[in-house]
Amino acid sequence: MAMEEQKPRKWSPILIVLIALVIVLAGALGWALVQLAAPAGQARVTYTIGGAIAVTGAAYQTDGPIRRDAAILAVDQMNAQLEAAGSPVRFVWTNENTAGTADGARAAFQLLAAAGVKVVVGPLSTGEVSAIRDFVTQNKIVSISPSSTGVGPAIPNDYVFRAPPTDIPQAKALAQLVDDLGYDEVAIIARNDDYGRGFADLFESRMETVYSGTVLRIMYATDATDLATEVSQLNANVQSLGPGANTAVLMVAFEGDGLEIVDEARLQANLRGVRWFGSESTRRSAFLNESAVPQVVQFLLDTQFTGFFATPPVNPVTTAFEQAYTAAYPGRDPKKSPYSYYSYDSAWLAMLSVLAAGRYDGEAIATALPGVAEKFIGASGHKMLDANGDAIFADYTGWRVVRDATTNAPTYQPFALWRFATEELEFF
Amino acid sequence: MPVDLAFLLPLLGTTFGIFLILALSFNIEYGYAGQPNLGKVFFYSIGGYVAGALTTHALWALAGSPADVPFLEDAGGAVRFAVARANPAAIVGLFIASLALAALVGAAFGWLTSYPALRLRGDFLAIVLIAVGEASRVFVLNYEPIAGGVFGLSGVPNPFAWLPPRVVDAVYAVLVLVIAFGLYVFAIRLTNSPFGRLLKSLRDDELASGVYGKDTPKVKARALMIGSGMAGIAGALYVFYVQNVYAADFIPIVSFLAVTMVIVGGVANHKGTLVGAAFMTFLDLVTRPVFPTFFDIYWRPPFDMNYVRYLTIGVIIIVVLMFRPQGLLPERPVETSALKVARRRARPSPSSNPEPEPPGRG
Repeated sequence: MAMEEQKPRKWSPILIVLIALVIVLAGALGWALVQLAAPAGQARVTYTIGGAIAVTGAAYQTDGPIRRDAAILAVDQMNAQLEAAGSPVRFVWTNENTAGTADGARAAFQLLAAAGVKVVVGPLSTGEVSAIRDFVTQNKIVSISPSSTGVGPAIPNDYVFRAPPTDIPQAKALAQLVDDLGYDEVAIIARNDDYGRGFADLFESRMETVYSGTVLRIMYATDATDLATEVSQLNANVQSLGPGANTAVLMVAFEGDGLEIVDEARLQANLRGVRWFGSESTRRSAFLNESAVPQVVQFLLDTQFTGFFATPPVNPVTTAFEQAYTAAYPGRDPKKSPYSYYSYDSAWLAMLSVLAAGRYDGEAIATALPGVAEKFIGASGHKMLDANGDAIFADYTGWRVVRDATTNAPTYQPFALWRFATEELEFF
Repeated sequence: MPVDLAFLLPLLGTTFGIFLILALSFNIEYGYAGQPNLGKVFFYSIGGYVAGALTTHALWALAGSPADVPFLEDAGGAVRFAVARANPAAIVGLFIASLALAALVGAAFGWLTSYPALRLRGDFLAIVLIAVGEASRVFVLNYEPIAGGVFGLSGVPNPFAWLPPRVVDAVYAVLVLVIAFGLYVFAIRLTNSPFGRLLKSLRDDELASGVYGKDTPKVKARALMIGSGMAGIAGALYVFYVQNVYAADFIPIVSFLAVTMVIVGGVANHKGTLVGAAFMTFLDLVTRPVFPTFFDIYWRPPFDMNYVRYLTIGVIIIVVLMFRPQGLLPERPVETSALKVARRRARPSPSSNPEPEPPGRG
């Protein structure tokens, strides 16, 4: 028996029209509600501040989120001020993780550009900045890096701005400090990337030409997870320099690699017996996490780990930022990442420049930014920019790892100040 | 803020085109010839280095090799961009030469790789090729003359750098898609040819293929040469897109991405590879934290979306493979002329004779 053929169900034209009507009416109702919600003549204007801040990867997995949250805090504070003033302008934040790589930074900026973003806080490292420089300049997207300090991207007339100064003053300050403390033979272990290479070059040149010192160096692959061989070579270099009272080690590292170096160094007799210095990138909370890496902390205490950071020691904006950060993120401390101060300032510079430009346009924002920065004193100090769009100066605070007298916890204790204007070093 | 299609479409088009070429090359080697070339990124990087080195040095020479500007630093890159913008014919010519040279050098290295492939099979070959890719990356990272070492080579201008900025990426995306489509057609014709069936015979039973008098080592070498040449082209296209070369970009995940596209799309099926490349490109986009902002959705969850992105991608791939282990488009019989004729003859018969069995799988 043949089965009865089932007729396909037909949609009634009336039903179709009714559904269409409901959709149109729902849309119209939604639109009307949105209009009612906005005050008359005060249509909400929303500008996006993009973030290209690494929150994963060995270099930034601890530090990155602290810096990102500082930028978010700035956006929230600005919105609160705008709301209190009755302004229709609001800023929104969206962050693309760059993972601290050149490839990741390019992908993040391309996506942010696709989302219509014209001003971005980030990326963090010099390698990432170099990778996105051409893209942002060609497409007129403003990038404000809160922590790139390498000399390579210091080029005029591009769309890259950097909140900290380049490594040149820091290398000067560190070489001066090393010499003042009586060390003239230095073994460097540095990241083999443009930041590590650049900083090591600047320091070595300064030590040898100005202070007639002797410098030996080891560069290591940034993605290596085992640095035992490189640390053994460093030990051999200290041996050849003579592990005496005038020999020191300089470590130019980030987070994961720095921890690995110290963990290997504590096993080497020569390295345990000399003073250690670090670049500003080694002043990280992960290094002083006594419950996670007690042996690293002990080594840094024993070797009086010392370095500089480009930040004013006392500043009311700094204090206000620290209090606001702790209030917004209970139990968290921005001091654990000194560059969080810079990402906070970078976000403020981005938003103030948009307001100063009067329109959300990369070219206008880039034009307004230097003027805004010139008048801006933030949590990390005065942000006047040079012709390359980098912070023109900073005084450098010297720090060393000691146990806090009251809490007995390991801490980066400020003990000196290097003044940019006079190139003089003062000890507290 | 509405999505800026002038950025988004070229981004998607270029990424998809490059992924497609890379996945097609892996499909020829693995899907058809049974050679798991997990060192795909090595050949991809060769294309990148060739294009980067040729273009940067040629533009530097055109600029008169300025002694006061460092070649490797960003300032050197800016000089090369200026030269490219002022000399459209030069940069287009360098682009064409780079593609040709990348294919040739990639193929040459593919031929060299066939030597270990003669002695190693399956997992062992895959492991050796992964190691080759990693070793080459570390070498190039520490040896400046090839690709600038840790500094990389900045200033590899887009071949259309002389066009208005907003047009450059769109034109380049179209060009990449045209090249990808051309290589897609090439791959289909290659694998439907007698040589393609020979590749499958090698994959299914190398011993039997040898017994029938086929020169299996030579066939393997040819497959690896073709696949590696295609990967070289993909690498060159990538470098001209991102406009710089960093050895650190050529990490093993690139190889695994190509593998995932082929496996998700369907092994030994170029349409599947196309679907796989499109699927992965789309998946990469929609799991990005910035994606909701394309639709004016500014949601700030209590966790960072960046942390769940990789997890989400992994779960989606696992789900796809659980329910479609053969891939989205499984392998199909080879479309030979004889098969088409047989189908045509079988079709008019109203007595519902079953379609004749295709002449074997290869």
